[in-house]
Amino acid sequence: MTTPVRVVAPGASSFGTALRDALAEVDAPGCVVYVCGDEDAATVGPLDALTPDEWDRRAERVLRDALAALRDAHRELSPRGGRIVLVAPTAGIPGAPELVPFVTAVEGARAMAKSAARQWGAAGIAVNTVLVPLELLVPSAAGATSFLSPPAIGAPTLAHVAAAVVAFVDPSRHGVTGATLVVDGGSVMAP
Amino acid sequence: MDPRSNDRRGVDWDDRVSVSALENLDGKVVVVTGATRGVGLGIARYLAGRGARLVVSARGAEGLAALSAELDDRGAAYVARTADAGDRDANFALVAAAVQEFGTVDGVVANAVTSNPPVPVEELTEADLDVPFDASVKGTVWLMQAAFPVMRDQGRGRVVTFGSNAALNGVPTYAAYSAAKEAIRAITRTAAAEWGRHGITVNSICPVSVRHHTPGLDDPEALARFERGFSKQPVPRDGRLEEDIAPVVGFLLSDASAYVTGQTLMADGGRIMLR
Repeated sequence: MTTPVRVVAPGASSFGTALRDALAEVDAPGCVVYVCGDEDAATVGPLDALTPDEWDRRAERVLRDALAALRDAHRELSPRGGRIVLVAPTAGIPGAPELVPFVTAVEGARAMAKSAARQWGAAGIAVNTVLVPLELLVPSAAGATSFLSPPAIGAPTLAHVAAAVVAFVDPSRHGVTGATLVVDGGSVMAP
Repeated sequence: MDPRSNDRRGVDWDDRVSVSALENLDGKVVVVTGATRGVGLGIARYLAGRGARLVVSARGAEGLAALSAELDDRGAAYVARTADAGDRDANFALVAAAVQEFGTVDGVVANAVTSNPPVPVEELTEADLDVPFDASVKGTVWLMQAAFPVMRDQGRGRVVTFGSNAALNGVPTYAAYSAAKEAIRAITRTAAAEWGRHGITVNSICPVSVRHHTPGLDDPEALARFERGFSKQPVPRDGRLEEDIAPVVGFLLSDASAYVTGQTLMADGGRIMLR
């Protein structure tokens, strides 16, 4: 019997739904994929006009959701070990104008994932991050990363992302944890 | 962009992911340099076990004979060639052998490395720098150049190069080796940017698996000290060649990594998490 990857996505994330569908036939017990980011969090707006309420919705809520997801996944996986994959936009690496709260939260969530990897590694729980183009995760915010180099390999697809996620849920890669894999066709190649 | 509107660019993708199809290495033609020892040996064994057709190389005929005997026992399809990694013609000959024997090259694994004894920076000589740059940096470039026309013409290819945690973190007396390894990662990103349009991905791996070349571990106390050195990292042990390192290379050679290029994947048990 197939145990599909459990995909957790906050808010109304069409990307999360599509990723869940794409991974529906992957047999991966003991795996949780968390999609970090949604339309509301990735609302563009100038930094100088940012209100405390907006900061809470677009940065701190994203971090709180990520923390809750990691804790839930840990509770679920800790008896036997397993794999957690954080899926987030690449935009946190180069930064993105008009998206300051969101990309701040994304990088915070990635740091959280690495710290969780250090804390839970000995218990057999690997935590890795897959970074994808913002335009896939939140199409409405795509313009905020228009300054990036175009990908060296064509346009991004959901299938490409799903394939890379599968690589991290595969138990054969148990020696990889705390890693960040950028799946963007070579647009962001930060060393 | 609607995340469901896939531009598959000629790849037979389906939204529902088939793991076995994406990661299938059966029949893939892969050149592995430095294949008779350590990480390279683990990769050769892993790939052979998954049905890849191999061109394996090393400097020493003796090690190559031992590997050949093992591949014969496994029933693997392979070609074994002695080659100096820094010799441009020898790298081109490896790719030519792959094309002659198997008709193509799907991937190259530029693993061969020659290192020299540790030297403090203030004592480095030109010869000290030449050793890793000739074998590792130039060897990587020559192998990539040799494979490029074949991969370009078929619109697909996978190049896997090797960086080092020692280079990323900085380790005293390893300046020459570390400089060479970082140079390789820079070349990797550049080639990725140049060759992506041909469907060729170029990625690095930074593996940590050192037990196989650490002397003195027959001594229980030395072994205990060695193992304690890994106790603070998330996966608290040295990397295993076939179980930890080779599967990451397998991913980078497979269709599952079709949209991953110019990247460095750490296979180090979470030791440094640099990025």
